[in-house]
Amino acid sequence: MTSSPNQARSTSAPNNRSNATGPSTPRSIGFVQLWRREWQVKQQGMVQWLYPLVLFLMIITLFPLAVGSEPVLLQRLAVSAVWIAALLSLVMGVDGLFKPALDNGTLAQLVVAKAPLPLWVLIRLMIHWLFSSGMVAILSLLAVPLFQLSWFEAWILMASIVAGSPMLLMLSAVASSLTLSLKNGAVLVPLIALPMQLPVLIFATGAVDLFATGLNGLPVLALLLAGSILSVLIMPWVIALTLKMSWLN
Amino acid sequence: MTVLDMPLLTLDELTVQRGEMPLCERVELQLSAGSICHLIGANGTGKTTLLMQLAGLLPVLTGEVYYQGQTGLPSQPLYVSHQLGIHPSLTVAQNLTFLLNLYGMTPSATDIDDALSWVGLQGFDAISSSHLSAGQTRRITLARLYLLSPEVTPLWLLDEPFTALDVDMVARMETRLRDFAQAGGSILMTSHQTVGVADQVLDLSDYMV
Repeated sequence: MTSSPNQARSTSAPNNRSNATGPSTPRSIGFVQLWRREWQVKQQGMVQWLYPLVLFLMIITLFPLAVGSEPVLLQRLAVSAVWIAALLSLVMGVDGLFKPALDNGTLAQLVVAKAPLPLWVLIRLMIHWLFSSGMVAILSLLAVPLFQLSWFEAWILMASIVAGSPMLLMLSAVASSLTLSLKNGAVLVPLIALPMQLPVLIFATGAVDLFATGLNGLPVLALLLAGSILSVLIMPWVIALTLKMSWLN
Repeated sequence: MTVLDMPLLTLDELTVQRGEMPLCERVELQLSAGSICHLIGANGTGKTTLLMQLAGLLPVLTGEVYYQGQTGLPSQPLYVSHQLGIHPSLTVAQNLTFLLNLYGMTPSATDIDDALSWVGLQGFDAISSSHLSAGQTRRITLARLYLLSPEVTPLWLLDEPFTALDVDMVARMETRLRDFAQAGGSILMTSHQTVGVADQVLDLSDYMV
């Protein structure tokens, strides 16, 4: 397909062309439009979001092969193995959270147009969560055939991933935004994020173990969920501020 | 002085600086509604830096900026630079729609077609932006100029808008800039080419440190 300016249909732009809902006071982009944009971007970058899922699948598939087929041992290690795989796949996948937007100028255009940056961050992370931890939570049910885990424990394991992973993602996103303006900053992301994420890992595996031994692990799961909700409410603002600072510096 | 008489943008003893290094000091400018100011100066005088400061991408540490009579940076200026905001994996229409959404506009398919025709990209709406050349990619961001009016963005900050454009497109751009200014919009732009439509020139070389 070729085209040149000479073939253009019109050569003069309309003056005061405000029929495309041009407002008299500054208006900004809304939730739906930001969601649509990020959804489109995610759909196009399939390889990027498939990579962490493949990593997760590889770990939980190879683990039983390496440990052996002893059912009791596999069942005992299942929760920890799946959670470590989930954590690693999540941390590995956050490299592309903000860097492309910085490189292609999307972040600059958002800042200049006074777009609600925390909302954009929240939407971006929500969609990322759906395609990463959301998928991982579903894939964790593979622990039933691979680790001979009971369905009850598998459902609790899935619930613990759903409850804890938003907090993990928010912590990774903070680390990612902090290292955005650094060369090879992606290397630092796991180093910054993992120490903060360890308590989540301990609480989550502990909750599943409590259920498995017949005790009530619900308070621990509730605590994880509360932490996730709190981080979802606070972190987008912190990340937005950090992203803006990466520009100003 | 009434609000209408007031300059849209005033720079008062502004220091143009990137990081710790000042490039120009005590820069003065009064840009009225309907004016086009051509920002000139040798390489390294801070033309791009000044535009970035006014766009809110770099801090203003010394001096004052008044916009519409109030202290502060311009609200929602249009900023055209090498930071295009074009995602390579999205289509031309998706990218242009997003860039207009940022200013609260919801363009129709006809609006997008018209804007793309204006920049010579008719029929490219469903093409992935990654398949375009650098010049064509730049035209996507310039297509916004066709649809944006002074009611939406009273101030345009254009950093080398004519780069990688052919003569015909430059002429069309100049016509559009003049039309925008006649409708009450103001433009502050850099260009290494002569800008025939500019009615004001700010030479940053005069303010170099």
